[in-house]
Amino acid sequence: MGAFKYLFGKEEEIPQGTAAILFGFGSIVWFIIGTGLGSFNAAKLAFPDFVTGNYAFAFGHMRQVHVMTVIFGWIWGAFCMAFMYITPALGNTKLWSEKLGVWNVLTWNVGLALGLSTLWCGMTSGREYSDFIWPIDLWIAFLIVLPTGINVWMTIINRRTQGIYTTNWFFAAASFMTIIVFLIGNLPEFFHLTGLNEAYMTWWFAHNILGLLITPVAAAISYYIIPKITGNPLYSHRVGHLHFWSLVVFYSTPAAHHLMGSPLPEWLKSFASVEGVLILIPAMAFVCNITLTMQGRWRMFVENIEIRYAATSSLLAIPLNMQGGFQQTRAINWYVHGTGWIVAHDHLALLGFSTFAEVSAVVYGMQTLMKRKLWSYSLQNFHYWMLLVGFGIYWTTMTIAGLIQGAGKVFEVPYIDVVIAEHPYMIGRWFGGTMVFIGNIVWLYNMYMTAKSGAEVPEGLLPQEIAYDR
Amino acid sequence: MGLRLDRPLYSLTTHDENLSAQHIWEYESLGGIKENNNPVPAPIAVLLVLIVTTAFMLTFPLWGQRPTAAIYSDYVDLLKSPEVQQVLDNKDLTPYQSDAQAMKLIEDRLSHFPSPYAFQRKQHIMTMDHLRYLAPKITKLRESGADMEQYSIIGPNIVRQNFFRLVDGKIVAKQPWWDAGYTIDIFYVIYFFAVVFCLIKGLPPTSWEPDHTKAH
Repeated sequence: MGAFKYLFGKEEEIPQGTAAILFGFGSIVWFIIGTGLGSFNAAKLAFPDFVTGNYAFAFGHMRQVHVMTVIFGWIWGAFCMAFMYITPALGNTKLWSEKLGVWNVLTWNVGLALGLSTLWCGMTSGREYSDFIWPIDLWIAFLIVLPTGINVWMTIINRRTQGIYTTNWFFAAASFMTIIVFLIGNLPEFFHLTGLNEAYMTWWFAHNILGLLITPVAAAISYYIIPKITGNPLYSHRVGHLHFWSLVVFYSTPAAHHLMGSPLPEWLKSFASVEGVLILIPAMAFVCNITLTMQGRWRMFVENIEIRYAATSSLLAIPLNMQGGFQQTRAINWYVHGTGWIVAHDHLALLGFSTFAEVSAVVYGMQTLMKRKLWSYSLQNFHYWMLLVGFGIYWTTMTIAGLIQGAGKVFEVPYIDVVIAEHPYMIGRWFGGTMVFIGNIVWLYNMYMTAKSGAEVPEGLLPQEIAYDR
Repeated sequence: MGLRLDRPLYSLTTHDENLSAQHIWEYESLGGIKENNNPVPAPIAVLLVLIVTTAFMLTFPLWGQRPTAAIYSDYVDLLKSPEVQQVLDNKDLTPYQSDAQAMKLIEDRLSHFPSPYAFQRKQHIMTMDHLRYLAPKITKLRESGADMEQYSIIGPNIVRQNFFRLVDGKIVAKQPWWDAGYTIDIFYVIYFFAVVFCLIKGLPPTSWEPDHTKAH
């Protein structure tokens, strides 16, 4: 509550890192809410008699609330934490405006609470991933993303270095592109576009929220965490260029590959399908750059928790992009489209590749900003394994369920037989997701205790340097 | 920015500008992060070529693109021919055998005549059951004088596409069967690699590696 006093305080009175710490804690809370909703929803699929008869708790009513909570609560919050901490650190400067950052925390939490409440009340655009009604979309664009962008851009402009490190290219570009994606992707709501225009814009939005926000920022976090903690130089500045530009060029175009079965013009689908495979170029550049940066330091994968999170994220980018690149081609899409395979893929992106990177940023950044080392390394280890094993169970079971659904679809197996066949996998899905949820509660407790009574990090040292000191 | 074109594979930047960039690179610490100037590793360059090749190979010849009614028009004529009807009416064969033999006969006949649809027919193999179902619809459509290339086969239905350019109700341009999206991709990839090549060749040459002891 003490943070409210900073809303109307003077800039110089606000301690550096305040906004980042608030975003960090807020993101973990939203992560718990988001994964709790996910666990609840999964339980409804695994145990059909679980909470029935109440419209507000129907699966079709709550699924979107889960999705929007994890994307705009957990992921966006963790990204803002990274923006507000890493951007100034790389420019050898301080955040352009802590006050704007603190206000940004408020607009984010209030906007999200409003958005999720209206969504839960049934006020929805009905468009996947852009489910919020248009006033909330405008709130997000102008009161959440724009202030963040201003802080990032102004911090970079006011940096005390000549060069701009790779991470900050991604941060600056992603916050800019997200505003564009929000304003263009929601045009069907602003101007009541219907039919194919609406379908295309819906998936242009959905694709680019992942491709131009989540993917670049998660990768940018690893570009910071891995060289910073290992002490190794980034393997190649020029591979960073290849990654950045190929991401901007090839990720922004393949929206139509989400609609391969629709009556969109075939030329648009073909164009998107080729671009969809070319997504492997930024992915390969990223994985190559990170794994080669890790050369000679792979023992830190075992010894250092932040490196373990970040490296796991980078390694998960391999199956993620192999799936993403090929599952959208006509040759494969006809089989997996509309099945649990895609749900598994989404979770590989958001809960696997992206979340592991974000956790590394939040864990590392919070320790550095609060100048306190983790209260319990064991609890953080527990969180890592709950996240990894829980996600692994979720991904495996949903992938298998998706293949069953695909077979059922193609061979025209009666729907109820498919439901029966995939029932064990729905239980696995719920079990894996619940592990993640429980792990997150432990993580919040560990971060709270770190803030309250974590050992102080002495001046001139970094948290990882004293991780094992007792 | 200075530009030199005498050794494009070495560097596109003048010697003085390279020296200036090297100085900043070595003497500046970006929040404690260091960066090397390694080239794109050779195996990664090979993978790049493989990815681009795969992207085009996998989407060309557009596996799964919807077939048009035009490519099956000749199937319908042959289905009505006495030879094919004789096979279908042969009571010595099971329905499965007669269907298979009749379709083989149709395909054999078609292979003797050049057709602009030969390639697409191989991509969209027709079964006798499907043909039997579609034949009256294709006949009716043809008798109405419609442009058969403008209609897609979607399961049991024949549906008019709306991808042709029409002026005053007349078709002035048709979507090529291998479509324009593919052409756009070719140019898109070419200009991407051209721009990125210029960008990374504007950096100091890869033969130079920064000395990180100066700023760290």
